[in-house]
Amino acid sequence: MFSGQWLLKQELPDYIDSSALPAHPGIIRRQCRRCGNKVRYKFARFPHAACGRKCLYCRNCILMGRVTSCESLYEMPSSSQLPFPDTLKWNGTLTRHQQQAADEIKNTVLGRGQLLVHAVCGAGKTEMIFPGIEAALARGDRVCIATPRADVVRELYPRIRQAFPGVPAAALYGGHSAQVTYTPVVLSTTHQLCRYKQAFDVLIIDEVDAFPYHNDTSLQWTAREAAKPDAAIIHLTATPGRKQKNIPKVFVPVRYHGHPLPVPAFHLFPRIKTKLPHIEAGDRQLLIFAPTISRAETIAEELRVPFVHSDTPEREEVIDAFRNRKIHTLVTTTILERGVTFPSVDVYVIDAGHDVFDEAALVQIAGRAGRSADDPDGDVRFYMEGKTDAVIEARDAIKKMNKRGYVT
Amino acid sequence: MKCVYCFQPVHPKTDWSNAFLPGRPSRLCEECVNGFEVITKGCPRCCNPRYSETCPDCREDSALISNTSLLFYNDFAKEWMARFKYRGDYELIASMSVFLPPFVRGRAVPIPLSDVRLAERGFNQAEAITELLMKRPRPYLKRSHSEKQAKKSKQERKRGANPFLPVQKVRGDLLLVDDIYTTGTTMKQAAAVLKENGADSVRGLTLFHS
Repeated sequence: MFSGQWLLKQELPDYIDSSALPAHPGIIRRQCRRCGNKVRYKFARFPHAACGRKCLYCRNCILMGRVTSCESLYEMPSSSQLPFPDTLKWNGTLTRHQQQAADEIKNTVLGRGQLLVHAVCGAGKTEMIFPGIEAALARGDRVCIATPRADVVRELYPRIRQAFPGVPAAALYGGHSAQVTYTPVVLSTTHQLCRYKQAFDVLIIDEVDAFPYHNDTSLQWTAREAAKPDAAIIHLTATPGRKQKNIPKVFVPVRYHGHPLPVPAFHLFPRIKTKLPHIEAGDRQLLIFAPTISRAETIAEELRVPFVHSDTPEREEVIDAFRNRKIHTLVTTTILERGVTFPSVDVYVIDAGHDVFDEAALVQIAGRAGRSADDPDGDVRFYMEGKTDAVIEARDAIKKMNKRGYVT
Repeated sequence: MKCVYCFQPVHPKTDWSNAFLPGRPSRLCEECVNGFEVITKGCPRCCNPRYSETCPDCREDSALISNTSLLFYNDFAKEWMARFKYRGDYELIASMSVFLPPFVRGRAVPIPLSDVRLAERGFNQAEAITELLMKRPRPYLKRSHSEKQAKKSKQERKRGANPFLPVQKVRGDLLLVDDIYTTGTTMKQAAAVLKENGADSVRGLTLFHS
């Protein structure tokens, strides 16, 4: 029950005696105890009826209930977990490179260390963590797989359920209330991690360099707080930033099917309707990336195709329809830039010189193409008005990774 | 400055209207301001934006002379309200300052909350609006505890007993303040109680009209 989580007074069920729980003040030294927020403009005061004073509250995690300076935050103790032996029911095989990384991950899990796994897009990161998870579960560890993107959680959940059919797992993303029943495996967005307090023995953070995790200190703080002090922490990424320097690394340079990454081609900015070639032709689906929501809408209107962005209400249905090939062309913002797999797509980036497309984002976007073994290639095009550093760096990075994969 | 709702930076525009006399600064970014729909015309008595003449609800006689609502309760407003009222993000009330009229007549009486609801929510949203109007909230009413209005049907609301109780004798022109006007039952019940206790006239002001 609520094991290893922070609970507000109003979230406590009636049958739990709050006086028996360790209580912490909600805000200590201008820092929210739950989400680690320290930013001044994300705190505010309100006239609190319960205590008659103007109390401070945190506006950063307000959607999970209000943390105030005068009310306590209750800490539910972590319950211990029985070992689950032989849980992995996945019967694929790992490539040589994957196996190497998987062994490293397993050793890190058993040795309680830290590890950065740098694997190119489509290297099969998810499969590489399976042996590590199995080892952790066999020892009775609670495992969390966190990622900054809700779409990635949604895609990861069925794959984990398939690989570990006997293990209860939970998927947490925006708009959920506290997790009631205990599960040994938790999939969560990094935002939802702030509900947890020293709950996990193994924390796997996927896409560590993704927005908003890579430059949000409060999210990084919550991730550390959610893991036990001696937990094994594994970072997965396809585009490591410059920050993670002093932790051991392992590099997987080749995609699981052994084919090189598609190298993007540069094109001059076209008038969208007249110049974009073969919209309806070909077996491959087409994924068009636009820099902003309003651009995505105008492009979709011009091409008469559906679009998704972070505010689309039926986002999940549209993405599912695209995955099931009911939609041929989809316009999207950067929400689909990483962590999602469509078997056979061409990728066009409109206005690739825009600020939102940094090097990491462009490498990730290019990595959406050619992910299946049946169709290992894809047409990646960057449309822009002029080359930017990010665009060139992205192409160079892709070329460099291809080179490293085939020399060794 | 950051937008009070979406935390994106706000870029105040300078044009001829505010070049010499800076107006009231907006705490909302332009995108969030555009999310709200201002009610420009509606039922002359309750501001119901679906009607241009007196709406069926207002044809019956009631103690509430008229009601002014500022914004249409669209999806954007619903989300705003969920965060403000149900999650308890009090600071969001500052975002309403751009929509409020500069001056309103009458002594402001915020619609009270029952003690149970007040303890749950931590603050009274109607009082927050009153303070934003820069008026002193007058505690002329009390409310007994009942089910949330938002969870009842229109018929149930009308049939329900009046939850408001007078606190003292009142006089003068009063202005009832609330966050949202749905069927007007709450406002009319409160107005009836005030009228019985000596108010000369009772008008209403709400942020939203659904």
